[in-house]
Amino acid sequence: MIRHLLGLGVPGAHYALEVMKLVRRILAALIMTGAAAAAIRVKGRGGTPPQHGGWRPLDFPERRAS
Amino acid sequence: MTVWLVGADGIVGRRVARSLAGHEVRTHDPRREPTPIAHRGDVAVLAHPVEHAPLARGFALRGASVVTIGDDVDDASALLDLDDEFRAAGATLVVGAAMSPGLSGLLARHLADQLAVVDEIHVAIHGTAGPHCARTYHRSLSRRSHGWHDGTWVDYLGGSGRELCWFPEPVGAKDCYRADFADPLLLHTAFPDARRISARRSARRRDRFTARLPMMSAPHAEGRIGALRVEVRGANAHGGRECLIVGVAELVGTATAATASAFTELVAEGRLRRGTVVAGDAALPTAELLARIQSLGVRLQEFTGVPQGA
Repeated sequence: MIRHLLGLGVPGAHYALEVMKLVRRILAALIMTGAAAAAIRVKGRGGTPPQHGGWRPLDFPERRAS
Repeated sequence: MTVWLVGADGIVGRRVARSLAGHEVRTHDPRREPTPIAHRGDVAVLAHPVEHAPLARGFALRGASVVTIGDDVDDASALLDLDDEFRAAGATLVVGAAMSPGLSGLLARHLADQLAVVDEIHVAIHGTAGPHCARTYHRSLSRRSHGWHDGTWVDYLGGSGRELCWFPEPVGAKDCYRADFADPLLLHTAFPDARRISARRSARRRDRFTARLPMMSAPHAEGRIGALRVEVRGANAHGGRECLIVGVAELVGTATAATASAFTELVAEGRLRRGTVVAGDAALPTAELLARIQSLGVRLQEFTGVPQGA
C-alpha cells in the first residue's frame, strides 16, 4: 500500500490523488476527534462527588406588630 | 410618605413594588425627569442599571432617603462619599441593599455576632437576576477584583482564585472565581477589624474564556435559581477557632427585592440612622431585617457540616 501511495508502479496522474486522499482522511479524522473532544469539554459535566445535604433552615422570629 | 421606585420595569423593580404594596409606590424615570420630585420623608429605591450616586444626590437635596441596589465598586465608593450630604439632609442612604452586597452583609453580621473575634469573611454568589445583571456578571470576570488581605487592598486578576464553593441545594457545588463587585468594599466598611475579605462568583470555563469578549448570546429574561454563601472565620469566647457558614438558594431577583424591601420598610419607619448605612453594620437591627427578608419567602440556611451521600 505504501508503494501504491508513493506512486511506485502507479501512473503519475493517480499518485497525487492517492496522497491527497490520505491527507484528507487524516485531517477529517483529526477534525472530528477535536470537535468531539471540544464538545465533551464544553458540555460535559461531572467530576464532583455526588453529595447533598448538610444545610438546615435558619429561623428568625417574625417581628412583633408595633 | 411615598416610595419612589427607579427601575420599576426591571425584575427587581417589579418585585420590590409587589413587596411594598402596602405603601404608596410611585415610579420615577430619570431619563424623563432628571430632577426627582420627592419630598422630605420619602424613600427612593434605586433599582435601575446605571450608576446611582448622581440620582441619590438629587434625592438627598430633596430630603428623601435612598435605598440603592447595585454592585459596582466605583458607584458604591461614590455613594459612601455622600454621607455628609445625607446627614445634612436628615435622610438615610442604604448602600448596597441587594443579594450581594446586601444580604451577604446581613448574614455576615449574623455570624459575626456568634464570635468574639472575626478574622475572615468570604462571600460566594451564583446566578443572576435580569439581563443587565447578567451583563455585569459577565464583565466582572474580566476586571480587576479587590480583596482585603491583612490590612491592605489587593488587586487580583478577575477570573483567578478558583475555589469550589458549596451552596445550598438545589445549586450544590460550583467553581467560583474572584470578580469585580462591591461586596469586599462594603464588608470592610461594616467589619473594619476583619483581616481578610474576599468575594467570588461562580463561573464555567466558557464564562472565563469569553469574559473579555461581548456576550456570545443575549442573556435570558431572568436567570435560574441563584445562591449565596457567606463564610465567617474567627474565634469564639473561649479562643477556639470556628468557621460558620450560612447560605441562600433563591432566585437572585427575589432575594434582592426582599432585601431592598426590608431596608425600605425600616427606613420608612425611621429606624435607621441618618447618613450612609451598609448591610452588616453593627448598629443595624440585623435579626429583624433577616426576619423580614425571610417573611418575604427567602429561605436562609445554615451549614451544619453533616453532608449526606447521594
